[in-house]
Amino acid sequence: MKLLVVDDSDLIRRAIKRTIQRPSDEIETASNGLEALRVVENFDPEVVTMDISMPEMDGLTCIDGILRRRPRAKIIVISALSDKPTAVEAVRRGAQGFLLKPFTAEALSFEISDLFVS
Amino acid sequence: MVAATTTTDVGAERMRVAYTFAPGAGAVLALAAFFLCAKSLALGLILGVAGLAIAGYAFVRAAARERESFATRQSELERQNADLWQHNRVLEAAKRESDAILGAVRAHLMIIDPSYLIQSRYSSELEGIFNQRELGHENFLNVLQRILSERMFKTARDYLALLFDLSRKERVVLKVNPLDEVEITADGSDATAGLRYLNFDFRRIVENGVVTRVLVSVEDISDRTIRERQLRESEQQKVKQFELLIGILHVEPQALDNFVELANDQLKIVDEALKASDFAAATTGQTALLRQRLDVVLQRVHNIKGNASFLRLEHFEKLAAEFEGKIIDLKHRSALGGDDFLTVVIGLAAFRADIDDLQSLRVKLAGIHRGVQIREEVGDDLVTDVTDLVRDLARKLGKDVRVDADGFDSRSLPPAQRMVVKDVLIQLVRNSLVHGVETPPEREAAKKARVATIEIHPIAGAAVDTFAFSFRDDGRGLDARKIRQRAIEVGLLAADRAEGADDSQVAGFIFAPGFSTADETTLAAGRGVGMNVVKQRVVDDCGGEIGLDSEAGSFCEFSFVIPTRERALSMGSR
Repeated sequence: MKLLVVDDSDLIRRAIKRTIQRPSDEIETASNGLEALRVVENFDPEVVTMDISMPEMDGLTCIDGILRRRPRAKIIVISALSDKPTAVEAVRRGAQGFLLKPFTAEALSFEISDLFVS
Repeated sequence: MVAATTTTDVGAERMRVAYTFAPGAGAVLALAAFFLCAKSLALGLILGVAGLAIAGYAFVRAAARERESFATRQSELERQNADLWQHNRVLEAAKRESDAILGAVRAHLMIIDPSYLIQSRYSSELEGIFNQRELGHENFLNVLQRILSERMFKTARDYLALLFDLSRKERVVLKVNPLDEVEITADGSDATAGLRYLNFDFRRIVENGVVTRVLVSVEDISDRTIRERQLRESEQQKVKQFELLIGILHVEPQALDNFVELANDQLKIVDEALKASDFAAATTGQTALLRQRLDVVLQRVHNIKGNASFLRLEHFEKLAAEFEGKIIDLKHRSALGGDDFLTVVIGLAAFRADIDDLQSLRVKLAGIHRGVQIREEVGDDLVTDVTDLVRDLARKLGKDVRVDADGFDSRSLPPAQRMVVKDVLIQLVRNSLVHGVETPPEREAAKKARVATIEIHPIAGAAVDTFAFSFRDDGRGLDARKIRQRAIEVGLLAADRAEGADDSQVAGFIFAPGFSTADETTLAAGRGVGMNVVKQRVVDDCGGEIGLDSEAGSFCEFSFVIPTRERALSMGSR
């Protein structure tokens, strides 16, 4: 599976990578929205995990950008933010999963597998 | 029931048709008879009578049929009535049940359609919760607009659209429910009503691949939410108090008092600067004046910060630094208004609250200090400290040692001498544990108690103005042979004279500088400094005496006589 992990914290990026990576997976990372958009120019991710508060370009804007370039990408928002309107906005813009930080490995695995259940 | 009624109607129609036909046939025959009268009177009469007879018969038959059908219809209607009554009873029972359910659950239910209209059946309590009568056919969005903040209303509107959009997964949509704990504004701005919180829960009703309705449950969670928030706040307050306490433990109570006093004084000056009568009327045109006032605040806060930093009161140093930052921010604004000072006033209030906390902690701490002093009255803290040292060292060295210090009390000593006693005891303990006391297996092999004993006792009958005590361990005692050998090695004793020196003379070598019989140096002992320190402190500094008694394999005992008069100490410390 092709995955893109977008988060400004190196620690979180590594934690997510460690949690979801299986040998067959191909994982790219980005530390902000702009970088994520550059990555998807040459990388077609099936799943994107997306932080919301990031420097350069926030997660909401990035969701729009990614879905414009890669409409089939499935985006899971992983955010520490307790601001409910932003969460609703993320889903409105096309996020298909939502996970609150801090999260467990099981919760993340479930979110990902649920993306592929219709 | 409805179907049965329709069938009966059709039957009655057929009967009516038959009834009009039979008299009709009779009448036709009668007319034909009169028509034929012209040709034959007799035949005409026969035909006419026959016609009338047929018509009469048909009429009678029809009437009988009518009576019959009326009775049938009546019984049919009665049956229908009974059915309807039964049906009503079932419906009423169902309504009672659903009312009971709606009334019993704490969440109150309603159903909205895709245009967000509230359906006519809903929990009546909702009228109270939304403070609105007749919710049926009302638009749910209008209700929400009345009770939510503008931002939450917009979010709620977006959210309802997501709920009715089947292409969005219900699990994810439910997960981001923005109305699961939402603060609502009481209608008519009733000040006594206070804050209220509602929990909205949504479930899609899907029919033929379309979300046709959404079930909404609403619960007033004000009590729970307010309680939770209060709990959270008091938890945070506790954590802060604890951190504050940890942060001030290292500070002398007097210094803490001074800091509180200083901070209060400085904050008072800040208060005055902010409360000046012309301040409230200040407008953007008086920026210079406002800036001047900010400088007063800044200086005072900086002073508090400096003092906090000196005392390593990190919390207050940080607090003051943050406060300072806010003031500097304000100073850099091109225009200043009275409103801008709200930040300063709020910051000031927070600062004062923390200083008050500090003050109350300081009072509590005074109580703890008193408590400690009471504990000190019970016994000599030097004994406690020595006992702790023995326990720690024994654990490190794998030995098992108990301390018996009955009757020993150094508290009446002048501070200088007490310090000497303390230094001596520390060195003796290290010496005993490293050199004297055996490990439990060694002691068992030597047929001694597994647990070694260190005894520290006052010596009875000591001279006036002296402090005399003994220190004894039941370890392996002094090894005269080893000391002798070591003394020769380090040049304290000439090899040829070693045989001539008696054991008591040899034992004295342990007080020589740099003398140790330990094979290797450890943190605990081995540098050969310890016993030299003892001699220096007791003999050189205080003019005291040291006695030594030992039996190989059995014990080692030191005795000390320390002069307690001030003169003795000053004479001793050359």
